[in-house]
Amino acid sequence: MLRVKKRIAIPYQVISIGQVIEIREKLPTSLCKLTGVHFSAQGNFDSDIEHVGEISLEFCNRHLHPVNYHVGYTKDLPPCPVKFLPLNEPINNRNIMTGFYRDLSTLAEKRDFVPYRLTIYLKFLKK
Amino acid sequence: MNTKYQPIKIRVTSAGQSVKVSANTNMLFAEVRGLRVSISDDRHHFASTIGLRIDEEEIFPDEYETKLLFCNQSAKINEYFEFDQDEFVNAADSKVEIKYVDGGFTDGVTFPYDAVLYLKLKNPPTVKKPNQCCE
Repeated sequence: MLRVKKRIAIPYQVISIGQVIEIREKLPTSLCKLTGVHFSAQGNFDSDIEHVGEISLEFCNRHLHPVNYHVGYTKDLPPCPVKFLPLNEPINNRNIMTGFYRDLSTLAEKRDFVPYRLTIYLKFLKK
Repeated sequence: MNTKYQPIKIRVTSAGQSVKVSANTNMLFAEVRGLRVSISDDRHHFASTIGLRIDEEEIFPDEYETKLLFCNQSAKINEYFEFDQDEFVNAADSKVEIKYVDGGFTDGVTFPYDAVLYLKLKNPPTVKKPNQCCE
């Protein structure tokens, strides 16, 4: 059965140690189901970092809270096209995504802070 | 012929460059069933992004990092191309519009380089009639 899919990418710049970013994004009204999420941190890090930051996302006027996750960074490219974290959550017309992101990149190991870009990827089915 | 792998080449001549490329999918094939990005030097994937539209339908937004569409030679062959199992885009002689933005990484890399977007094109299987061995 044909499924029409929509991918959304939302970038944020993280520019200070321990920065907390409030996430509030309006999503298109043509979406009916959230099927996957992926997070990517991109910066000039000198080594892999298991916990670059912590992210929490809510949908449908905060009635849906499918993700509270740690974002990691690896210098190596993935061996194959990245697979999103699978989800299967209906989305209603209250299409605002809220949440937060908190930088943790210098917490585990002593290192100089490096500004980086966080990108939130979302995959949806369209109506 | 049921499957074709169509390359669309993107030439990048300087760090941070934004390149727009247009092409048409092969008219003999009805669907795009997968996509993959290959760059001559893997280091150019650093912070590079690719936006893709087919017949003005957005497939990947402009901020989509190319490293999410990368696949190295050691991966299993059926993992080479990005698209879910049941996903395809109608595309017979369809207009493909690409916006590629180089990530600006210059440490030890050379310019110009080529980024190649591979489209996996397919035709839906034909239904055989009874007593028909081939067409």
